[in-house]
Amino acid sequence: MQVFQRKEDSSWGNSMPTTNSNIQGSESFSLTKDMIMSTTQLPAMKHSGLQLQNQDSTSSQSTEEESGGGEVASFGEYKRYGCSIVNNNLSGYIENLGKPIENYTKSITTSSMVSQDSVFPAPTSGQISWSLQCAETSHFNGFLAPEYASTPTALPHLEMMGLVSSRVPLPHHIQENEPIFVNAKQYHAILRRRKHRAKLEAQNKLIKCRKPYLHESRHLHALKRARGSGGRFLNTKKLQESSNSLCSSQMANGQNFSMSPHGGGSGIGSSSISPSSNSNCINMFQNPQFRFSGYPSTHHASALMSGT
Amino acid sequence: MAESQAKSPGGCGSHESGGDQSPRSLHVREQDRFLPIANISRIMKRGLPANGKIAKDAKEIVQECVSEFISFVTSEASDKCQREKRKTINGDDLLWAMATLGFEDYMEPLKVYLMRYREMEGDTKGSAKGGDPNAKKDGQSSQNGQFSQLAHQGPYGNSQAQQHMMVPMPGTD
Repeated sequence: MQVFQRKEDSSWGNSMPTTNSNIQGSESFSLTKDMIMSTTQLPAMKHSGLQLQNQDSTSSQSTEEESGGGEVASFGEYKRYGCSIVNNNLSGYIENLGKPIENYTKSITTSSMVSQDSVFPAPTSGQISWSLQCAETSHFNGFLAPEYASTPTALPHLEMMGLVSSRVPLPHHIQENEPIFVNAKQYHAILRRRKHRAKLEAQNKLIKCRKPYLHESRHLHALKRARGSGGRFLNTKKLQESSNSLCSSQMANGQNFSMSPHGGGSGIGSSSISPSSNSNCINMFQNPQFRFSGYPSTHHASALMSGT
Repeated sequence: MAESQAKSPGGCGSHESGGDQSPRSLHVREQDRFLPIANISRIMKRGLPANGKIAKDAKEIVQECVSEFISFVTSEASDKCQREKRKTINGDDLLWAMATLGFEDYMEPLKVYLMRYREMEGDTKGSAKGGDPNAKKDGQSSQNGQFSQLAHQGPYGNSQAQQHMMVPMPGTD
């Protein structure tokens, strides 16, 4: 048990500067990743009752896919501006998770949004787009609070594990020269594990950088999927409504719709999104196992291309 | 020490994720050394209130901790099997290893778990009856995950009993 405490202390010591640098350096990028991270929980929770163990690994790999780079964040953000339908088929936990974003969206508009009305949300989505860009700082500041609140939840749990049967947790700052007192029963096992890890490190087998995703094709598929308000994936029913709404929005307000992607991302971002879209189209034809039927996917893809 | 080194390249991962496509590295894959992080997140959420959230770095730290714990217990059990010139690690070896390492408090619930699991092993409908012991032992879900991880560790050898442990997993989910 002492081993885990020592590692936890050093890990926390390392994670704190990382978090600070992330917040200071690229605040919107990090938080947008968190938002996309929460998006993945939706398919995982929906299919948890049906999947086998191997498919659970699939959902976890999807989690890694959703941790994509800035392009993923920008792409999802653009889609989020385009769609204004609120997904009502969420479970309790996800509803609570999505509520802050939903409340923030409602606070911008003076009138309440009607998800069923496909014509009315068109100008509202434009206003939301510009307002979100102006109020980006306040939005992400509001989003910071849950992230900080969850960290103390994990730390007391780990401390309670250490305090079982009157064991003393290790101090945070441990000097290399000082001897570390551990459970006598675990001494030899700890030495064995250290030797094993040193061997793996010599063979260059330790994981040094976590890749944002494990499989390229799954990552591209996640990029292609339609997203609703808040950045979550739409299910099959919501996708058709989204296609109709997107088509009406495009016809009614071509100017606002065409301006949104330019305002949302930089030139480099826009240029890099297009190749991804092309790859998505290729994958769509090569992989017939997509969950959506042919008509909504094609329609959505064509709308996306015209939007870009 | 190795863990801290593993954490410090986290920034490197952040830089890498800036690009749309990450390069294919020759390093060992993440899924070979860590449990799936989505499963760990679901287990962690059971201890939270309905509106609780878990930061991503907290999930990653717990993922590394539980994966290291599995290797810790397994290496002790493997050491015993090598002394006795056996090639297969079974559940009793893991229980003995945990007792040897000072985790005696885990012995009693895991004995009950292992006993009930072996009773189910003879049934053909393992998935149907898998739900009952898992429902009764919510606190043992992480143990269940640890057992299932053993089936993936080739160097220590896979036993038939451990492979069967995969069956109750759908009940847990």
